[in-house]
This record gives sequence, C-alpha cells and structure tokens, in this order.
Amino acid sequence: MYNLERIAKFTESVFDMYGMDKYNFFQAYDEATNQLFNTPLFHANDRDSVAHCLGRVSEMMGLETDVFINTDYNVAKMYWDRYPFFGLYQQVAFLDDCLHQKMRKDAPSIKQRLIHHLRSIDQYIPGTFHEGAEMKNLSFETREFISFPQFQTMAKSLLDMYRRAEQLFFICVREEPTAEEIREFNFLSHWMRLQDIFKPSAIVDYQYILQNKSVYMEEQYNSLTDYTKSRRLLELELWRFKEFSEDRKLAQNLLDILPGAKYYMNRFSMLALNYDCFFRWSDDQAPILEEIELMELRAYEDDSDLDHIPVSQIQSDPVMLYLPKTREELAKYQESSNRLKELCSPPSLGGLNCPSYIWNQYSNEYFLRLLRRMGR
Amino acid sequence: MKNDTPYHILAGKNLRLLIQMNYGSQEAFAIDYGADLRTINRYINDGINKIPTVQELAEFFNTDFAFFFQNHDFSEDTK
Repeated sequence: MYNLERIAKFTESVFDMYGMDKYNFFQAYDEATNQLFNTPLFHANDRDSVAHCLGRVSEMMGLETDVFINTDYNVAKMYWDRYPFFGLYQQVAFLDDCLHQKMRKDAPSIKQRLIHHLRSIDQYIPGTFHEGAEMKNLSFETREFISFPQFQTMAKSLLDMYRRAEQLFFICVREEPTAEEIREFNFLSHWMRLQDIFKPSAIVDYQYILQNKSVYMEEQYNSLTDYTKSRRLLELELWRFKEFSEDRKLAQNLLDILPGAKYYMNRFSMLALNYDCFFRWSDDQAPILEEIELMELRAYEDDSDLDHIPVSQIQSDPVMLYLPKTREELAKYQESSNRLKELCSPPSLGGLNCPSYIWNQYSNEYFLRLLRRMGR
Repeated sequence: MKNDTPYHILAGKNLRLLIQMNYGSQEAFAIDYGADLRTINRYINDGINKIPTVQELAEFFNTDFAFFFQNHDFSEDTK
C-alpha cells in the first residue's frame, strides 16, 4: 500500500523545485471569487484515480510515474542538474523579496516635483496644471533594476533550454522521438508554458503535437516562435537585470526567442526611469458623456453584472503622468537605465531588433494558418 | 510662426514624422513598438490625447517631449 500523503507531499516539492504551474494539480479556480484555492492532489484514493492523477503529473513533469511513487528525489532533480537556470533563478527569487522590502516611497518630494513637472507641460498642453486645485489620492508605481552577477550563466542556460525545446519540437513533428525525448519535451513545454499561437489555451506538448501533426507537417517553418509563444519566458522579465543591457549580443539572443518582448522592455524602462503617477484634481469636473459613451458604459456594467452608477457620480479618469526620477534616485542604476533605454529604441537609433512575427496578425499567412487549424 | 494646430493633432503629425525617419512603414513601427496598428493609425489621424502616451513615445524615440508640440516641416507627409 502506497503512502498517498507522502507521494503528494513529494510531488508538490518537485513542483516547487521547478516552479511548475500547480493549477489543476494542487490548485483550482473558484469562479465565484475569481481566485485560486488549494486542493489536495488526490481527490480519491482508489487505484484508478491515483494512477490517472500520477499519469498526468508524470506527463507534465517529464518524469516516469515511478519517480513519484518511489519519491525518488535524485531522478526528480535531473532537469535541475541539467539546466543551471533553475538553481540560479531560485537565488533571484530571494533577491526579489529583498527588493520589495527596500522600495521607498518619498511621497512629499514626489508631489512637489510633480507640480513643477505639470507646470512645465502646461506650456505645451494648456489646462494640464490646475492652478489653486489640490491633488487628491496621489499614488505612483515604479520599478527598480536588480543585479545578479550570474545573470549571463542563467540566461545562457535559459537559451539552452529553449533551443533544446525547439530541437525536440521538430523531432516530435518530423521524426520518431524516443521516450526520453518525449519526456524532456513535455517537461520543457509545460515549464515554459508553450502556447499554440493560434490557440493560446493549449500547451504544445507531445500529445498536442500528435493531434495536430498533419497541420505542423504541412507548414515548413523552422523556428519554434513560428508556432508557439511562451508567457512564462516573458514573465521572467530578464530586462530588469542590470546585466541584461551590459551584453548586447545576449540581450538580442534573448529577444529573438521572445517576439513581442520589446513592448514589455519598454514598459519596464519607463517605470525604471520614471514614477508613473496617478491622482485626481480637487476641482475635477464630472465628464459630460455623449449618448454613445453612456450606452457603452451601461453595456459594460450589464456585461460585468455591475449596478448602474448614477450619472451624477460618474468620475473622469484619474490624471496619469510620468515623473522622471532624479540622478540620485537612479543612483547606481543610471547607466543601466540609459543602456536599457537605448536597447528599447528603434533599431535605427541603436535599439534591438524585434523579431518580425511570421504570425503577424495583419498578414494573409496568419489568416490562412488560422483556417488550416480550423480544418478549412 | 504662430501654431494654430491643436496640440493633440500636432503630436500625431510629429509621430508620423518620427516613424518616417526611423521605419520603413507604420506597420514596422507598430510591431517594433508593440502596439496595434489601428492604434498607431488613430494616433496619426486623430491625434494623441494622453500625456503619458506622448511621454512614452518621446522616451522611445529618444527625443524631447517638446518635439511633439513643435511645428516641424510636414511637407513630406502632405505630398
């Protein structure tokens, strides 16, 4: 008789080790509260249910079922040993925690500078500054760089993982993969959350490739980014590392596997260089909505199951404005900020090249590929 | 020279100028900037109303905020 509690605990520790998504295993979604909540791995303890559950775990983690039944840690950490990324990224999580603790909020100074900044903008856009009015509910958002001396090793390992996933993807599509190759591909695709560009709800693992093999065989693209996108890789926000912009070639290599990432780089760069401020003026006038705008608002409220807000209580949007950080505030990251800003700019001004999407939604090719997946 | 063009329209025209100076097409800019092409078309044709949008574009093109509100030579794009 197996100790299910021990197996579940071990399995969760393997999920934690790799930072694997626990949804549908240890977590479920509550539609009433729109929140995830914890659930036990095994909902029933009959043999079939347990076998089915472990089969799913095994497929996603790219490890044989026996590894979990025998709680074999040495085998479970095979991808950890193969890719230094995992060990290094765990150290980054610690740095992140420290960063959150030290973020300072010097609101009075920011408010004074914001007033000065609003006055300077007022000369181009009259009405920006409200003379005699107060700023209400001022809040701001900002980001800071993080320094991790082993960034290069970590990023190169991530590239290795991606390239291995790419190699295995094409083996799965065009050849007969071995059981070990299938397991590794499943692990990498689930860890990276490789989504089908045309069906983002689907993770492109081996089973999914089998189901869509004819479509993949018909399309002769040679890059994984032509078929998939990885939300996980975007969420790593590699550009927040000071070392990212110090190695242009590495930065370009990373951007090459992340179509669309330049937008997020830009957003981070703005928040690293500025405070994104929000507030309301005390003399704010209620907006005069045109009939069509009011209809849109009511439609939104109805769709979202919200009560209709009385017209007299409708407020205009808060004022939003970037306030540049001072040299002192940028402190040791002044150079990093400038370098990242340059990488974010157009290629003609020294910026990185954004990979052109073969799946650009404005192209005929995109439309044809969409139809092909619908069986037309 | 007195400038009677509304500020938001002027900002849109200057965005068009910057795109022409740095990209082969508006689509190439939209992809690189990570914006929807329809949004870029709207900025250019209807103007840019939001200050943070202008601030973001100014940072991106490494130019001054003021550049968007100056009357540059639009002769090329009126051809």
